[in-house]
Amino acid sequence: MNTAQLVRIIIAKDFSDTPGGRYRSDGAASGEEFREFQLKPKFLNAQREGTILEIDLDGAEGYATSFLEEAFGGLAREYGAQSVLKTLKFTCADEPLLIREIESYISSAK
Amino acid sequence: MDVLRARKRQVEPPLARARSRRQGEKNLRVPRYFSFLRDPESTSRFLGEFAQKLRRYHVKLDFRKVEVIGPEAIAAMTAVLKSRKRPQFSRVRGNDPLSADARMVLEKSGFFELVRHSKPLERAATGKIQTRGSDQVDGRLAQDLIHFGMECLTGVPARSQPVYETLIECMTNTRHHAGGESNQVEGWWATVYADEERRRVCFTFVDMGVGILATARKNFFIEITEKLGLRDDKDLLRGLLSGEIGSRTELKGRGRGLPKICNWSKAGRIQSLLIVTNFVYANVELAEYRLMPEEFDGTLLYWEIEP
Repeated sequence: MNTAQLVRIIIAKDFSDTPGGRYRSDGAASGEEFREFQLKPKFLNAQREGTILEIDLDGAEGYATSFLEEAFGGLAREYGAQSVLKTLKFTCADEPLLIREIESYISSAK
Repeated sequence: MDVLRARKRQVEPPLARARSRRQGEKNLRVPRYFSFLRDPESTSRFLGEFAQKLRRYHVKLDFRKVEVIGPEAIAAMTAVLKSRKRPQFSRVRGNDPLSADARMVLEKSGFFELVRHSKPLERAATGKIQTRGSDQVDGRLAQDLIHFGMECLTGVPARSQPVYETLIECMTNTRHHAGGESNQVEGWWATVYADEERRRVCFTFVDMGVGILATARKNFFIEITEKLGLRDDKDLLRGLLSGEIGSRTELKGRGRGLPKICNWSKAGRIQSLLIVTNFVYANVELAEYRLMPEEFDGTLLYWEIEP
């Protein structure tokens, strides 16, 4: 796979540098909003084209567990954990342990 | 003074005046150590009395003998004052502590902007404490508080991922659980205090909802006590923080917020983590859990960071 095939979402830039809670009803920049309007369309596109979708987590204030679970666990509930883990790649220099946390939400999503 | 009184009489409708006389005003002495860190029992008892009196009377807060005031106690007092459970007619006023240190904390907090006070505050007296409130999960407010606190001590607004995540977890818990069975959305209050002497930024989050343990107990208590051998509310809170007990929603992927906050504390990324909810006082850093004689009607978290 070459780099031209890699599509990226920089959450702090493309979505919000202040990610919020789980549901849209909780307030602005929720995990549900991110999944529905950013993640899902690009994930489906990446799946269709057989490319990798890179999620860059750097630059944001932080991520609550409910935001991450709803966004990535929610995507896995809809499309399956294996398919999500195969398509998404995470980068996070700010807090590298966050990647393992997200992968656990994807793996345990039911 | 007479002119002011006469003007007030003109503005105040006769019905409100009559009600005011009927309700009367109750004096309430603020404890000498008004701080959950120093004296959680007296502080919790006072807040309970304050909330109770506010439901029926005007209240005069007597701060004169107060020697220590914690910013976390002020945040809790603000939450009581702003609680939706409080009838709108009740008025609160107060005097100054004789102790210069206690007076300074109270003045910096801006608390007297919320109540009637005999003297106007000097502008310079406010500045190192900020309080924000909402009933939403609001990342911008969390960001404001963190940047304000960091800037007070370092001169530069800066991020703190552990603090941001702790604040958002707290807001989410309040929004989803604090209303209890009524499903009414509770409000929350968060305060940042830059302690220049100790070079610490201190955060408090408080809501006046049903409390963490009341929520957990409702769905888990009987089952969990049997399965895990939990004896009382202290054990229940310990179980929630360790992640042994999931959230009351019984859905997969829930109940991870409190364990994450606890992990930030264990990793030393936030310090002096304190949780007060229902009858339990927990100094998480010191692993000190104890039952209080009086219930704190809500949830309070306090923690610090060294910028």
